[in-house]
Amino acid sequence: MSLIETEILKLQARTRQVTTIMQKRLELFADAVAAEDWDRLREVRRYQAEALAQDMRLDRRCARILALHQPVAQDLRLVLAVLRMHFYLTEISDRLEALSERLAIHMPKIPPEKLRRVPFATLVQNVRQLLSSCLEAFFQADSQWAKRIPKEDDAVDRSYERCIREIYTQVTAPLSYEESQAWVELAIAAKTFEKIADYAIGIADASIYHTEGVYYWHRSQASQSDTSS
Amino acid sequence: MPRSLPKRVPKRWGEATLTLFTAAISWSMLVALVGVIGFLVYRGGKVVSWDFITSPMREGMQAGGIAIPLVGSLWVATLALLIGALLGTATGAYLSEFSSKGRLHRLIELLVNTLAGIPSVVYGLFGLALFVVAMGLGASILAGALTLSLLSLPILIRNAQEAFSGVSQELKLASIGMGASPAQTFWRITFRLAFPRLITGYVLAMGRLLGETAPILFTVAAYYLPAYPRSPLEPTMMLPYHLYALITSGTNVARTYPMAFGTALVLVTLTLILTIVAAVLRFRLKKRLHV
Amino acid sequence: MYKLQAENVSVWYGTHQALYEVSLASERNQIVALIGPSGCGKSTFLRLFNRMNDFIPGFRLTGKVLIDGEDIYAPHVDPVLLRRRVGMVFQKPTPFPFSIYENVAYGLRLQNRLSEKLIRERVEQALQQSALWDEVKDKLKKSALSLSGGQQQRLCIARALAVRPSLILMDEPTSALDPISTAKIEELLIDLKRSYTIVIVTHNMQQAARISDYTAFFKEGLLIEYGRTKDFFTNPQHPETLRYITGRFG
Repeated sequence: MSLIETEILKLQARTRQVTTIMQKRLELFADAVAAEDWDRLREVRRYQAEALAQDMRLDRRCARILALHQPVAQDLRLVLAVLRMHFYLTEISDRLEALSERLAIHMPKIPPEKLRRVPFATLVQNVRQLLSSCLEAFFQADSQWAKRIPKEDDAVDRSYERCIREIYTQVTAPLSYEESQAWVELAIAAKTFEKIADYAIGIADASIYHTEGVYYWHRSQASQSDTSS
Repeated sequence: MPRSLPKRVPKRWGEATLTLFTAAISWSMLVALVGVIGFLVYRGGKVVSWDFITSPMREGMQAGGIAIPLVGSLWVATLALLIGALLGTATGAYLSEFSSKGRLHRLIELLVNTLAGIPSVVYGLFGLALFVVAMGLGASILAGALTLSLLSLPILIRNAQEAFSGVSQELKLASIGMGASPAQTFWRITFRLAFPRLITGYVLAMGRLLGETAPILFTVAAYYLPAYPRSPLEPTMMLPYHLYALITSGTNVARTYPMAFGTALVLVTLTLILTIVAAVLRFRLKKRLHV
Repeated sequence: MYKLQAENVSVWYGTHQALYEVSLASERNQIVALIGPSGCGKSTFLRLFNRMNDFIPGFRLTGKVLIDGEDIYAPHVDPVLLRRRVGMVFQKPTPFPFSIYENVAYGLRLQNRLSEKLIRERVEQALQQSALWDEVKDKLKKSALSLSGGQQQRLCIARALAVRPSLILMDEPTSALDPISTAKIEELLIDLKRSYTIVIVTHNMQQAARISDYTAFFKEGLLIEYGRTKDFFTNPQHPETLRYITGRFG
């Protein structure tokens, strides 16, 4: 195998390590929410040190591959796509960590029967599904799959809408100080997950850039015909 | 800023003239060479026969053949070549491979160049004084061979030097880099690869030695001998001197005149054969080395 | 103990000083790349390790050059024997105009002590190690000159490997070759690293980046910087190094 192929394989392996940890934490979060076990949310924090170490290693490997092997064409686009994806993953991790702390504190303050009317667990599950698809499309270098992702995003949008509407309904009733705080946190959580879904789409976009070399949705706001750099 | 090109026509004329001129000279040289050989063939061809080459002179140098001078010449030239090749190749090897290219080297080169310019008759005189008289060898094959070898030294040294230098420096370095000692590198690479060129040089030198007259005059050549030489300490008849003798001091010049031409023809033919052999040898040896 | 080491080495050719107090060391089974502009002394430095500089008139050395802890310029050291332990591959492929077999066997025959059978084994091993065996196993008796440039260079590598040197020196081994031959030889070197220590001079920085473990940057006879390649090309310490590797020569 040529030198560059070996390096690309190593890069993909490293990237997998980072995404695996990320997905594990998200799974932890989803399971805790589904089981309504708010203390368990704190476990997400447990993997923080390892996640940071993996992050740094991935960064170093990207720098090394660029400096030592001068990749071009698809190899170069892979490195750039990985760097972009890395940013999104870091964002997702950070928000997940922050959320898990706050929800662990505030969710117990909402009576369970009221809480169950908000399909938050479904939202989390949908986002988790979406992220998983995007990551797989990236590793399989399957741009056709990546292009179909927005359909899955629709499911996320619908759960998000339902969550928000239910929360609006709940807060119109008179509530204690602590419970209203909790509802606000829940609304923020739902919004955060909608944002995470956006990041997932960004990852899908990066994977299309890697395979086909075009910016599919990312720059669609910018003029389509502008190809100068 | 584009400038107009100079007219090409006058330049073209100059090119053609140069080519034509050099070609004309070369062809006329060839014509001259063919002419000389043709002349010899014309005047001496009728005399040359198998009998001419294999039988000795008879009737007081008026009839017979050149067998004895032929054998004598071959003896002396071969011996001279062997001595000269040994000394010349060793010196050439020193100059090319082993010397530190300092003052001694320059001195030797100066001497070699000087030796190359000494007239052959001076070599003959030297050989007479040293080998024939001082060393007491008398007029003999050995004295003649030693004298001729001295004559051939400058050519053979230069030939060897150029042959060894002609072996690519990179190959020698590669051999040294592999841990071959300078001696091993010399034998396995330099000498081996220079061999075709060395051999060519030797054979060509032989061709020249056969025709040298002045050095053999005082050191080995005899006017008339009835038998082949039996030892290197005996004098013998030699082709170039025989030629001279037939024309100038023969007993019946009119009869021996054509025989002189025959002798000349044989001499030239021998040289020609050796030259062709040298070329063929070089070609085949080179091919074998690159196989 | 280091495999190879230079301690405060300075080199003169007559009155011209080519290296100024260079100190550098490497452990075994590494590839060390020497880079720098032309005339910076990297080839001179390379040749110190098999004493090929000895043939250049006016060569003078101060400091110590060590292989396996032994000073190779000590008076009792025989350079001929040294060169049998240190292999060298040159820039232009220099196969001898003999058969392929005889080329690889050349170094083995210098010793005069190996049986023909053993020589045959070692020749095959060396050709396997230099990834040439499959291409030439049916034509070992053919002239080495009938091979392509890349194959000839691999033959020269096999020739060097046959004597099982402990150190291999390479002076721009791929600069005369096309990109595919170059890539093949680079992969070969990475493979060889498992059994040998290699020092390679290259004017191609990217090659040094691709294959070496340590890189040394020479400029005008001085060793400017020496470090692990992955750090060297991502974060060099010396501003001169930075200028050179980023292509800001002017």
